[in-house]
Amino acid sequence: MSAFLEILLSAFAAVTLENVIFTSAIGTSTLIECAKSPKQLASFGFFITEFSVLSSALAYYAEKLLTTPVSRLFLAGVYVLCLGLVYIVTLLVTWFLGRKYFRYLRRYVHLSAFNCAVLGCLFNNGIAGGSLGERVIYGAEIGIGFILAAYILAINYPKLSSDKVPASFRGFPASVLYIGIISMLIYSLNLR
Amino acid sequence: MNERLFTRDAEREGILTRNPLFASGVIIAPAAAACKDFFSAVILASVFSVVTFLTVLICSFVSRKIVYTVRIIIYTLVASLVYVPVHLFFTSGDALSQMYASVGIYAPLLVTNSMITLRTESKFYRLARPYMTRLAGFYILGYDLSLITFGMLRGFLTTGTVLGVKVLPYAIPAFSNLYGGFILLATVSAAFRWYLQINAEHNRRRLEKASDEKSGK
Repeated sequence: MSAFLEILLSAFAAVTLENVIFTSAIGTSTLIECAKSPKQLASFGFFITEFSVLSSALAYYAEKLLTTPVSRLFLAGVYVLCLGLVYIVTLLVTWFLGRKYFRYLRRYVHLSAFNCAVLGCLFNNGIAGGSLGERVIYGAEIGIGFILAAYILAINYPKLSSDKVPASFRGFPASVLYIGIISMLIYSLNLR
Repeated sequence: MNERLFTRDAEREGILTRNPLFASGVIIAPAAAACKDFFSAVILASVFSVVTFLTVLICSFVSRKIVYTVRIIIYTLVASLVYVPVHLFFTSGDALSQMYASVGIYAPLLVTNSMITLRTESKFYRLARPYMTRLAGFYILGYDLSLITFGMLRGFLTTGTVLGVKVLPYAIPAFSNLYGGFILLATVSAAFRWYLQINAEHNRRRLEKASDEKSGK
């Protein structure tokens, strides 16, 4: 039971104290875009998690093919291809699940695939050079962390873009300021 | 005449009214996390400019008959290939590669910037190529200028220096942290929007005055 609790706590710490948005800003623009439409938050977050996890696993095998320093120059391209493959498979699966669902999702599923959060996950995995399991767990942490960050922003987004906020601060600047304050809080918690 | 008006419109839109960083709030991560001084800002702006401009230009030749799912993969793939010579250039010299290393993964992450993944389809490729090229150029210039201004201001506040010369007796090192970057970006962006609002109001009054004078005659 204590081992389970330990895993649970470390997972919680990974998505809060090591949250990719609040500790490295990766994916902030996507996050703000996502917070504007809270209805899509769950599916958006699910797809970011899916893309991070599956493309991390794919990239793990693809990296093994890049053995020379020259081939390593094309690492970004290889990551994009991994993402592209997962993106196509995801669209095909949703198409088979139902046309209506597919039509609804295809409007924004590309946003979940081609963004800095997912690509940043692949680059960070590549730098850390972990095992397949570690990469998949990190991918899941990125996705769940993103959902958490998007939820934190989405619950206050209507207030941040309301008429009560001065016009020049309304919307984007207020959101960034809000993210900055949460980022400061996480920074101070990490110092302890 | 039309040519000049088009250029002025594109210039105004890309640099001012729809400035990618300060007005539209896109491609935030490199600014908040890696743009800590003038030099890192110049490195990021250079990578961004070359990768985005060449990708937008090359991908404008990609047929619209290809489904969007494949087109978006092609766009980011082209961006990642354009990034290779840029990376080789920045890692060629000792001093340059040191500065380049300071921006970390934020340079390669620019291959999925929203100017390539979103604005190409929603804006650029709906326009005629000559105007699209100009508009994309001004959007990129707008981002570069705001990034360099932001980097200089952040470096100045963090160290109290401008290009290595001590100007302020005080320094606020907290601005070099990520949260400092977010807070400063929000403040600068709000100031920029405030300026745009004042400018728009001024122009509106000037037009009203001109139309009043005309009708009075």
